[in-house]
Amino acid sequence: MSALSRLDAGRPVRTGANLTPMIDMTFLLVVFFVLVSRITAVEQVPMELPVPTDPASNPADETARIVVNLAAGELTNPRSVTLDQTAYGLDPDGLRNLEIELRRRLTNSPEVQVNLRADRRIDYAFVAPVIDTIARSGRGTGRPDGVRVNLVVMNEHERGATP
Amino acid sequence: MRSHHRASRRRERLGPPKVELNLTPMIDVVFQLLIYFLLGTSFAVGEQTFRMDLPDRGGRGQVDPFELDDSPVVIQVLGSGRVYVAGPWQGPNRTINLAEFLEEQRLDRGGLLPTDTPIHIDPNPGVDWGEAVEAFNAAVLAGYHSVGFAEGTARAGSGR
Repeated sequence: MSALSRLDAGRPVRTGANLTPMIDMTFLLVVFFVLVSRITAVEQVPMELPVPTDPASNPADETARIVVNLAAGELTNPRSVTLDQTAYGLDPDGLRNLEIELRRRLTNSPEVQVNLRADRRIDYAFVAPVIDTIARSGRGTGRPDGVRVNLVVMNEHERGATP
Repeated sequence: MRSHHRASRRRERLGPPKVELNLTPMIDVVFQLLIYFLLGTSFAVGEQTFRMDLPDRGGRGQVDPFELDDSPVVIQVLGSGRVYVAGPWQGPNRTINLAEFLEEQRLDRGGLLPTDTPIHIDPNPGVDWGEAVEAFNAAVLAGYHSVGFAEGTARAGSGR
């Protein structure tokens, strides 16, 4: 049974859902996920983060951050440290380049923090030079208390609580 | 002539022809993209941080002449869940007992150490990062505000 138009007698009314808002929302969602997936791909190199047994860590705040990733290599220990998908060797030259890049960013953004994500299986001897490099990079950036560094860990309780 | 007249009358009745875009394929593709990104995106669920301030390694900072130099408590991480607290302490041997021991040493718990005493974690060669962080976590859990990694004086830091 089709309805008839009151204005134009005898002509059937064209009924149809207005898809425009749905398309708008869908496009917004697509744009959101495209951007978020790009950011997480840059910042979150897959790795096994340290999992403290009774973690006293805090949720990450929303302050601007630089994420330095130290993922495990093929034989557990890493060959390079990555900063925004750029790999720097763990040799003196590579660490010097990392220091220069970090200093440039710390100078440009006074509020920025450095998040250090390192695989829990890595020998501490490979992490220590990276911590030193981050500390040195604060030189001359107007930070009397030094660079603020956050050590990233995995809180299994929080992970389980999140749907 | 008659058929032409009939056709023009039908056109008048139906109005001008409507041109519409078929949006169905576009919506299909957009939904495919949406599902792809929904499934492909991984958020940092469960990631948390320990805050650690590293002092400027420039060595040219101003030194307050009236500031007392707090000698740090150095905790050596020996590996396989073992630790050694350097100094005149009857410290624990295991990392799992470290937080309890450090908490007992706090000034407000009847011990000798103020909570701003620097705690330096000093992992031995061969100790993995996970175990070093476990000792770091024990010191933070015990309520100390100035926890960092140390190797001599080179890796001194303070954290909250």
